[in-house]
Amino acid sequence: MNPILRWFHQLGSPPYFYAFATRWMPWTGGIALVLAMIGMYWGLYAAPADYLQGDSFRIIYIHVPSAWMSMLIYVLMAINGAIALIWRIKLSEIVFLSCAPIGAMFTAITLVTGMLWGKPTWGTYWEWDARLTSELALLFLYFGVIGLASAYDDVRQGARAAAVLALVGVVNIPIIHFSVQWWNTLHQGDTVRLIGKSSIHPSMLWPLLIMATAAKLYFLFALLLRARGLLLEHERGKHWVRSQVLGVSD
Amino acid sequence: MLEWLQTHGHWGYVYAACVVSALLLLADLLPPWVRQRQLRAQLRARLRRESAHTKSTVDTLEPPVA
Repeated sequence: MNPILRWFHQLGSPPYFYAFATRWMPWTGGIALVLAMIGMYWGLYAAPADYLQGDSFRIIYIHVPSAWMSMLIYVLMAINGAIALIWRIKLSEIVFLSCAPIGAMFTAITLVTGMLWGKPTWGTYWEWDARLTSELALLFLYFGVIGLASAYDDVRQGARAAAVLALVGVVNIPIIHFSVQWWNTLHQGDTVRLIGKSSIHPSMLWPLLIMATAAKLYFLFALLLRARGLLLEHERGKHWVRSQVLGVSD
Repeated sequence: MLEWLQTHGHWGYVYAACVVSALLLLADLLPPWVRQRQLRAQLRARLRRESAHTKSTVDTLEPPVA
């Protein structure tokens, strides 16, 4: 078997995943913290002020990585929800459940920092424009997934019910992304592009990319932390928890 | 709060964004971390109780040494 495929299969085993999470949590959390400190210093104090928006543009270094993460986490959550629905893999249910609160947190950061950026830039905290409204809908989708999953006594049944909602909500992701192109919105268009030239100066782009990497690593850290906790909660009676987690040999 | 933001100009909004984000990050991280610590402590305590119970049962069942 292909080593990557074999590793992926191994990752589906709770004891293996627990050991994997324990090994990688300090690395992901530590590197995320260092990168966030570098990115914040560079973005807040070293990068030049925007010629039009002044210093308020510096909110970009929190707002944009959070916005990217809010969408990326939703897609990852929906993929794990689909796997949980189709193949009923326990670990996918756990990853699905762990993604929702982290995604909700990033969406909340996106909305709050967007409002704080909007006031000095547009003169208003909130406008019912397409990008802002679809991002707010994403927050409600996350809340819906969290609420639905916790409404069931059986955690696995709750995860599968919430997975259906998450899959339906995926339609909102392209709406958020393309809203600035499809509609005439107050929100500015894309300044950073994966394909083609970005319209942001490299002196402002680099700290943004560092912050985006820090956000991704933080997500991994938080995901491993939450998934590890849920695993411990669900598998507390299993032999591997006694031997591996508590270090007790029978 | 809103008046404070307006009186501190652009940097007021920037710092407010940093503070709110840090609080939301903490609100995301702390509950699962605390819950996990509690759970591990509970599991350890249960194991200690179980092993103490097993030990006392074995002690009772062991025949007296002549």
